[in-house]
Amino acid sequence: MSNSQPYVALMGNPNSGKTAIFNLLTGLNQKVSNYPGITVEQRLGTADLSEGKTTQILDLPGTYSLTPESLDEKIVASQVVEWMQGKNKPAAIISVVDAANLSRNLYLTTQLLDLNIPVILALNMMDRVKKRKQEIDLENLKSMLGVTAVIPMSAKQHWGIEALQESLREVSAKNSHSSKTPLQLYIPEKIENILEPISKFFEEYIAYPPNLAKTQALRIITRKSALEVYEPHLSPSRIEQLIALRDEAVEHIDASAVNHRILEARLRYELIDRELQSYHLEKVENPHIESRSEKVDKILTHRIWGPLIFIGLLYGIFQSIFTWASLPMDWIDLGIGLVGDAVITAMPPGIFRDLIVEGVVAGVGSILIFLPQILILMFFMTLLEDSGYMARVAFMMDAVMSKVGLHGKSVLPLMSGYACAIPGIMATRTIDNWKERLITILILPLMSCSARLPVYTLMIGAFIPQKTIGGIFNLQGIIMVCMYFLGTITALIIAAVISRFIENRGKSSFVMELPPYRIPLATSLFRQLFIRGKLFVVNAGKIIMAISIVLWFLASFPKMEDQSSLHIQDSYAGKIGQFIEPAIAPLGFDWKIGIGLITSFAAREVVVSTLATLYNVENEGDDVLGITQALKRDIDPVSGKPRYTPLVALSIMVFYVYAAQCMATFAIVRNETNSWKWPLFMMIYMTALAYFGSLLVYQGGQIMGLS
Amino acid sequence: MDFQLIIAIIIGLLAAGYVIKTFVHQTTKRETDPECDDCPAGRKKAGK
Repeated sequence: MSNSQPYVALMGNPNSGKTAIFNLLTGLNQKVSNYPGITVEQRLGTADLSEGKTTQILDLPGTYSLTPESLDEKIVASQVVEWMQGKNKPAAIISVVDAANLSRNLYLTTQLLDLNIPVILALNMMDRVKKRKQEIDLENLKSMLGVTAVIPMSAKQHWGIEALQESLREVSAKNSHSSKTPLQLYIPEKIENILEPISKFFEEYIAYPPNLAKTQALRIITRKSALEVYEPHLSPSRIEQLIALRDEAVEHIDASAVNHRILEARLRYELIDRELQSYHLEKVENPHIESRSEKVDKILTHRIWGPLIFIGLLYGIFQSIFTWASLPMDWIDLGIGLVGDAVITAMPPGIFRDLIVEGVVAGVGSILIFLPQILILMFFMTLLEDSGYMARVAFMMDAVMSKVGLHGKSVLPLMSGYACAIPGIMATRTIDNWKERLITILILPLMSCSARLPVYTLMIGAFIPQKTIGGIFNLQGIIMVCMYFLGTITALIIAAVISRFIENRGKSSFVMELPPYRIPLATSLFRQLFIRGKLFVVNAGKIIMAISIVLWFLASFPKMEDQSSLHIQDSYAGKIGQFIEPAIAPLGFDWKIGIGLITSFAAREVVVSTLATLYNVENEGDDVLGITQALKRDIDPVSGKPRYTPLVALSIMVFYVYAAQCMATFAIVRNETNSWKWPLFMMIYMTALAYFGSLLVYQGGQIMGLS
Repeated sequence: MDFQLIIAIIIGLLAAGYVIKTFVHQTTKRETDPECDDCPAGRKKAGK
């Protein structure tokens, strides 16, 4: 936020429903999910407050406190330091709390109260409090905290948002203020004396008021990382001075038998518990009743059953991708054929018509056909996330993760990688340990993203027979699951290897809130499907279409004087492909696949559209040739045998499990690591894995007499 | 010159331009603090 327009900041613990409230207030469609860490960067929206009034809403990443540990928490802490210096302060802060976990959620609220900014307390998830037949005395809570307003609400059930809008209207009209002083943290005199040099430093060099200076001094005592946010505001020598003051204070505190690391937490929780008790609000906390989620967790996070159920679910998802998608895929295939026929009928013969039919329709159509499969995969992934199951997967996998140098928090970004590596890499910002975050980023592209799905399904659908194994398991489904597991298991092995060579710069701990199981919101589910579908068709579609056009030219020229005599091998594309063919021939790939390997750097699925365009240029028929049919019909003129066999298909799939092909991923890795070294390393190790993995499959298969 | 060939060439040039633009954009996009080499964005050396 650098503009001077009044705005309201939206803050709260992870998974407190902050993003859902942001969406309700602004009408935007940010992703909402049932696991912590969805908001990893701040975003801005405009809230319509009715009566012709609007206000800007700044949605900050969820954080448990203002002490920065991970990158997303640092975004919040840095923003708050700006406000504390009076720069671009919000008109108010909406502190979103989970009403069913009041005392824990109030920790952040008490820190926000120190900032001398009006705080509106949004008591979200009141539906759960009501379900437990509990009540919260709103007036008492308001008096206790000294906040501007306490708004009971349920973002999930869409109620309470009008009251929040009204409160925002009052704040923006500046006619709303608390009649009581905000709740102040009590710091014992002995500690206060130790903190005094730091407090004075803050008063002198950052111009904090005395009370704020004391609480900030306490914060940097707790974590040295809290100093980082002051780096832009102080000279290096002042930072050195502050570090020295901190180290001295820490020594004194530890000498008085108080653990400095938990000092702020201890003082704040003592304050919250004491105040909740004196205002008779403590009855809201009732952790002794075993909830339905806890009962379900006994099975789903069971040491043995938990992982088995997870594997079973994955198999079910990949199997359904084949069975459910076949009908809509047939419809799309039919539609593409009709579009091709319509173009042929409507346009006179010529180069432009050939470009449209062989390049655009064949290329884009060959990718569009996989839309149902991608949507089915996304449907299940969103369902697992929104229900709260993904958070359990992270919990179950923590032990395995730590053995390979990763963190429990790595699981959710890795699972996001099944959809697309880019949001997964961004989601690693929640991992506070540098080494664990870097390793997660480096292995994340090995998780099979949805762009690989068209490659897998094309090869499996065309060359793997529809056999049933053991009476219930479908061979095509098993091969698909194997491709996903191959990527995942290799990722874990690579993580274990890399972790030995990267120095650890800090300790990490895994504290993760297990959200209650919730029935996913249909609107959120379908919004995600719409966004994912749009991304695939529009964003990926544009580059696929452009590459198909360029490729058509490369495959159709140079034209000879006798135009009909052009063989595709003599085209520019053919020459490029044949140039690289000797390097890829040991993998069972011909020059057409070689062209696909180059073009798929734009996006992995482009290999499918590339093959479709090349076969259609070669076909020169008056119809659009289906890619599956084209692959099956392709005969090697030298050997007279089919060029594509199940072994070649397997080799191609293994190559794409490991393939580095995705420029967007390299760009995001460069962004997130601030170095070209790591994306380069990633490209080299992934390409080596892809080449040798594929070589092993093809040559090994041939030695074993497979075809 | 053949009318269809002219349109095809124009579309081909536009498509090539778009492919080049996309590649350049993807490889040069920088959004974060370039000061810190080797470490994830926003995490500087002092402090931790």
